[in-house]
Amino acid sequence: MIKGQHLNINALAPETILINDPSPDATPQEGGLGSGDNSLNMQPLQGFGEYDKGLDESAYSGQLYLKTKTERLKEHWGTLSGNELYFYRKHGDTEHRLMHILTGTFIKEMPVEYSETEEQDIYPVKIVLPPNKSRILYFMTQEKQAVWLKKLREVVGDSNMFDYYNLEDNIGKGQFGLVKLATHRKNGQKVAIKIVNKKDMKPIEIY
Amino acid sequence: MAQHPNIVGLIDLFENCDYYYIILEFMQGKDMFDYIQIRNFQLSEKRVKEMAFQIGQAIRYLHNYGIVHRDLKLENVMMSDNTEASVPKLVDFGLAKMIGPNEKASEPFGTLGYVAPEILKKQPYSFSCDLWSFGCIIYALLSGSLPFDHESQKETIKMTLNKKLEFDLPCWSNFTPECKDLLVQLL
Repeated sequence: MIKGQHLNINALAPETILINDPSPDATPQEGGLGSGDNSLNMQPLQGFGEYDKGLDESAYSGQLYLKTKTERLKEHWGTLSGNELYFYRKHGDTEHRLMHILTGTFIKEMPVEYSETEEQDIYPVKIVLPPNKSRILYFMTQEKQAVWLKKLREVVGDSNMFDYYNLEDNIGKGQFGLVKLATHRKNGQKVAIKIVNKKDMKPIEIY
Repeated sequence: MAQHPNIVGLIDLFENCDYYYIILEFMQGKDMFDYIQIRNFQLSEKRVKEMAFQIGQAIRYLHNYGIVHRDLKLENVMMSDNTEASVPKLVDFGLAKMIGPNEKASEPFGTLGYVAPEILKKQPYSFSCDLWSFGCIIYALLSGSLPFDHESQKETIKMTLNKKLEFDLPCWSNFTPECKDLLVQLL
């Protein structure tokens, strides 16, 4: 499938940023709109213990899919609030099914794959919690994948090295991996970038 | 972080779930081995003194912070450029370790030909292992060969452990007794 082809478009609920959501079915519990005080900039930790009263004002929600053990895709409603990601069975549910704290995780864009059950391409985003836990979210369009990637990365505080540096030739091989020449995209500063694969490091050497 | 004119500067650090990206100061020159190879392994004692002094300062700086490099060698010293005024800078802290003043390390790390005998004997060692390697570097800068080096690894180990330091190559006649004395003290 090519980019921009929306096969399942009718099945997809519009993605909404809750605070701006004019739709009547956005209940106060879910959006935190009823609680009023807009000057309160709720930090994730301050909101601890208040999951059901209201989510972070900048909460972002949308439809996403998770894979079952039998490789079937199951629809979920995801809400990203502060550094917490909630999964609801469906939009409007007040009880979440799953929740992840994103602190310390890495967000990874995964290559598009074809889903036999949905008969279309699906766009995965992997949330990796080192050393060995991960969860993959699936999206039906590349656009949704891109928006969620951006939102998740903002939360995790990931800055992508490739946004800052333009990688050029290899200039050497060190004890722990390749060294590449690179140029800073804005100021043109030339640097050497040593790329170390985490797999090559023994746990004892990381601390 | 360690900032010293003779240590390659750390500019930034990135990571994603698979890789660390270590952004380092870019060196126009190559490593010290290439630097002396281009010059046919012939450097003046004055120039070697200059470079050794700078490397020595960097080593002292690291040791003051409790850091042992553990893999000092020509290949791990980068030159800022290819000119005669080029400045050497230490790189590759992959084997470096922080140890306390009375602490000893015991991991058998290093590069044969530069590695100190106490490490080869698997004895606990400390900062002085870097000084041994430093001695090997100066020896190599002056003579173009390593003090303890043989085609076979076994022989190199034997030489490092047992052989008395020798200044048998003809080029040593060009150098002052002071520099030989320094090497005798380091090795």
